[in-house]
Amino acid sequence: MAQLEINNLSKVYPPDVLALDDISFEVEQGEFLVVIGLSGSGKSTLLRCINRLIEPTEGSIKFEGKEVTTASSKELKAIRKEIAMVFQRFNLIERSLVLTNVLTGQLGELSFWRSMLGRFPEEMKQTAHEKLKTVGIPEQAFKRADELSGGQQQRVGIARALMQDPKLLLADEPVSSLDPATSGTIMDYLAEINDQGKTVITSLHFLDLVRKYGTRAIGLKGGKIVYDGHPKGIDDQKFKEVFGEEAEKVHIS
Amino acid sequence: MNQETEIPERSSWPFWRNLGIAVLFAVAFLVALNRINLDLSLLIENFPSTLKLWSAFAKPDWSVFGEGVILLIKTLYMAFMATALALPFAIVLSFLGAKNLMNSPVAKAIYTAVRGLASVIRSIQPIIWAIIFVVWVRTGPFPGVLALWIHSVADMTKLFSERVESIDVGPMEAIRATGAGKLLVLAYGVIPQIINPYLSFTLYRLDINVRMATIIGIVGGGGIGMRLYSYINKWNFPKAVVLTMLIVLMVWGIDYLSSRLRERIETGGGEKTQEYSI
Repeated sequence: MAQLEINNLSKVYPPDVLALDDISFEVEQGEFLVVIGLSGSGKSTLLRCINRLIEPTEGSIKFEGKEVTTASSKELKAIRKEIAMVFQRFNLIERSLVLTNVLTGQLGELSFWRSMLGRFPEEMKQTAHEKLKTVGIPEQAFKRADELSGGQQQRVGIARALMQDPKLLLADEPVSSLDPATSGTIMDYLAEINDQGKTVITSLHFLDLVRKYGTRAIGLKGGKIVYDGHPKGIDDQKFKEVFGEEAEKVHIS
Repeated sequence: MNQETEIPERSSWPFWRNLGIAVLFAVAFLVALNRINLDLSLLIENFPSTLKLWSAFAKPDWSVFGEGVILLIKTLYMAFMATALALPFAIVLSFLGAKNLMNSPVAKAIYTAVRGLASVIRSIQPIIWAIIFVVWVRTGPFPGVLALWIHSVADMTKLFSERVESIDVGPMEAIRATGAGKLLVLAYGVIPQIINPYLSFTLYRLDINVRMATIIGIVGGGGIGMRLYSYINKWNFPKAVVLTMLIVLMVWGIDYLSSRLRERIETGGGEKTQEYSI
């Protein structure tokens, strides 16, 4: 049984925008899957359907054998705890401390009132500091999140995801808001997480990064899968199929 | 580029539209001038009858000073009470009146009701509310507080809701993705983004209520305004002048304090202010 099984998944945004069109694929544990495609090709929708931040219109998503699409709100919370997410715009609570942001990764684990009052246990705080150390910014713990640079904010995003100790990490264009050098560092952290046996599904724009980090690539065009295979298999012909005839490869160093 | 570039034709519509709007305003102005009797000669002819009022400024009757200060404090209390009692109502209603949080059909109906009612209540001036409540519960500070309260609830609900509607949904999405429930999404994804604007609006509303509290006394809503109006009715201008000066001082003071405080809140304690050189 694959860790993630997606069958005939479709998403229609009212009134009639077909963002995902009958998509099926499986992901094995430990894969580093990169989803590529133009803006508007359905990458973000696909990633958000997996943890149901966006409700799928049709089809089935099974995570570790549990059906996600029909899960009750309680079951869904349990599934979401196992699937962490990193975002293009980092999505931190800007006015809160970096440490608090990391701790929010564990909100689901605390009792309701402890969470509401922000009373995180000491050992949880200790773990949060360790996660910040993992992403190389232990000294930023008591700064406000919006004081950090983009690259640092994305590291906080990753630390928050790590706090969940997820089995699957979804990263929606994690480096699209960052400069090329910082992008490499962030991708290295995702690779490190992947090396520890956690599945990573991410969307990327640069083919160089796809080839360097991905163990598998899926190309989306108009909500349909037009490529599914090893990143090295994307030749110029395939590239044009995914990104259109006029596309040129942009290289970053 | 050697090729001939085709320049799209520009529509002449904006010119005619702007000219039309200008003509409309000119006509409206002339009609209004004709309908409203602007008899400037009255200003000059009747000037002597105001001499008694002006002379009062030269010799104010300070015997009302002590009484005035006490009335001033009572008026402040009225404004403070109205604002403090409006705050919890406005906080709850602001979430129910925020379009981005109210998605289901039932929620949308609640949203429409809350915002609709808020704009109706808001469009009725506090002084009209004061008249209504004076008829209802008799004269005094109580109807005054009620009038300020109801208008504050509606006004703050609208301002707060608009603030909630303009929040960044990113943090909410991130908190939801961790498996947290609705209230936690509110506590971590929404509240940190709105707490300072809410504080700032509340201070601003307190500022407005202090000014309004001095006015609503005129229709029987209590406070210093009520006494001021009775002195004016008795043509006791030397006493009225003292009360007026006290009101000006208080309004100026509150205005200054509130704007200084709001400045601090909005810049997060002054650490994020930027300097510009032109």
